[in-house]
Amino acid sequence: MKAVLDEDRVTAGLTELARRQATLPVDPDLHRAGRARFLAQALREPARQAPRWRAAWWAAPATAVAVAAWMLWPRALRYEVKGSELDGPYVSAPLSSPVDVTFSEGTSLHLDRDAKLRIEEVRSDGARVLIERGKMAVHVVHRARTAWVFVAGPFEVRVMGTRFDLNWDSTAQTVDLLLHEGSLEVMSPFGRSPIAMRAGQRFLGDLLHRSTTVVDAAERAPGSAELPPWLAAGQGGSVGSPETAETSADPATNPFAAANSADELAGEATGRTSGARSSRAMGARRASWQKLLASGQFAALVSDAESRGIASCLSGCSSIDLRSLADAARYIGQSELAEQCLYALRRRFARSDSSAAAAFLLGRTFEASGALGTAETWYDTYLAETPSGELAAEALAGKMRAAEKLRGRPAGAAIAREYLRRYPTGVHAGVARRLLAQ
Amino acid sequence: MASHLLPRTPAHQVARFPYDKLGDAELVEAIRRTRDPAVLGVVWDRYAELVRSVLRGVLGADAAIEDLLQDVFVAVLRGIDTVRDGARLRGFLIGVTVRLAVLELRRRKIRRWVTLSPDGSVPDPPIPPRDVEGREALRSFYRILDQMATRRRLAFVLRHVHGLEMLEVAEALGVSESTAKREAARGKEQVTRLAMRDPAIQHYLEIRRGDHP
Repeated sequence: MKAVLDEDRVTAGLTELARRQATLPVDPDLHRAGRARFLAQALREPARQAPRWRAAWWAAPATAVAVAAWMLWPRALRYEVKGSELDGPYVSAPLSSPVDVTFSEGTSLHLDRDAKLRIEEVRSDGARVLIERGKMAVHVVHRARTAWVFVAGPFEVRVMGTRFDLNWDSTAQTVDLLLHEGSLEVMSPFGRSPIAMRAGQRFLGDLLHRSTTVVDAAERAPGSAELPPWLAAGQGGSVGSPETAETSADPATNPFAAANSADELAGEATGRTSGARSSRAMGARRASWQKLLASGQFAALVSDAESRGIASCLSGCSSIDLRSLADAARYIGQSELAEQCLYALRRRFARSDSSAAAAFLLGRTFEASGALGTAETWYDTYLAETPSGELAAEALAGKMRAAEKLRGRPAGAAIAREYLRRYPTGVHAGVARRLLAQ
Repeated sequence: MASHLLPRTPAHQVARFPYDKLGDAELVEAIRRTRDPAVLGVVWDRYAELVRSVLRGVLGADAAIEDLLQDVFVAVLRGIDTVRDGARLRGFLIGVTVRLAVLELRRRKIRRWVTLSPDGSVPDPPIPPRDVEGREALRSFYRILDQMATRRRLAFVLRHVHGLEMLEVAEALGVSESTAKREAARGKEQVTRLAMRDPAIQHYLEIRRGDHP
């Protein structure tokens, strides 16, 4: 339950936040560079009251220091833009053609059509680049001291030297990063530790669903560039046909049902006024739930569902809403409600991508609660239904962990071997190798 | 003590008293006498962090802070002869910082740089991106500060964000202690009133308090 925040707490909380920001530690290199810059400037300042002989006394060392400071002063990289006009720090690719940005040390960015970025800061060892929308291919030249940062929404990619594609969908709030060469780290708003990536891996982040996934790019079907189902769902993307087949509940008795059918059978004119009204209501609720989910108001989302009736939602909500409710319930620890939603997804949208993802999430939920046997079963279910699915590597790793804890190292090692065979550079490869080496 | 500061003594005969052990009054004296880069470096090391934090607190963290930091130290160097009491170097630095921050605020207001980037969107303060709620709350906080009169804004930030004594706030603003006290109190009242209505700030504070997971 929310309580009204009192005035003193508001001021104290805000000033503490501002203080924290104001006193953020400064990079020692930046401090030293600022010092050198100040000293160089100071030496150019006329010593107004100093006698002439004293000025002469100091002229030689002062000049030496000034020259040294000038020589040591790191020079920021320069860059040029081909294919578009530079608008302050902004680079926008027109709808008709891509744009190339080349930095003086050789790093290059290739913006797809209609992509937009902001070069926020350029230093001697790299730059901080914000991708505002669209896709760009990045090639960072590795040097002894390199520090490049690429920001896509709340996701931050730290790079030493590498080549990757970065795609930020500002509408769906999803990021898709495909690493071709080298290694890098991704900071996600959902975790404190950076996610390390190696060549051949793909990072998928979904702000609305508060999810991040690393998959092996190689396991994707050639030419398959679409986002996984949960990301597609986040964009209001397609849902499988079984989902639409399951929306026959009576709109008169189920507040979710008519909206569900109208919404998911998008494009099919129902010709019913109530259906159109419900469609609007459904759209409004979906937007509202996604907004609540995105802003972290999980309890409010669950509370809204409760006020409408959990049972009605379980039988009438769309797969997207069920998934939103399941996520919100998981985040606030209502694992029972989360399970109900995931089971409803399995039951009502059988054989769909949402159903398979629900199997994986059930595995995760049971693993977190210590029910390892059940977790292993659900991981197995996911792997059986979608052996090359987007979450297959994660499911196999979960199965490996559960098997080791349940039946000991040899059981875990057998799955570790299978994991390494399928994903030799996967994110859990290190764990698998350690398991085999024990 | 002053004799230690004179550069006439050859370094190989008598070791120079380490500048970083000097008090502020002696540092000011040494700058006046010698403008020795070593002394200036000590002043930088001692006070750059404080000045930077005041600039960040008043203006919000952005790319212009490092340039303003340079401006403050150069201004202090130029005005070092006007420092009557060297022991109050810290207060003098804060005063210069505040004056330059006022100029910067005025400049930004004119150019609409306070909240608007060239395309009209609000720029993000450079705080850790994972703290999404904190970033949103900070944006709202600086939007509220932008609505305040400059003197009130400064009094509020110096007193409540940086925790300066009221006498220091008054000195930095060049007003009486009672005026500084009144402005800081009114600033707090205004910030609190507007913050109570701001959903981003409310959300951040609720999370911080534990209303949300």
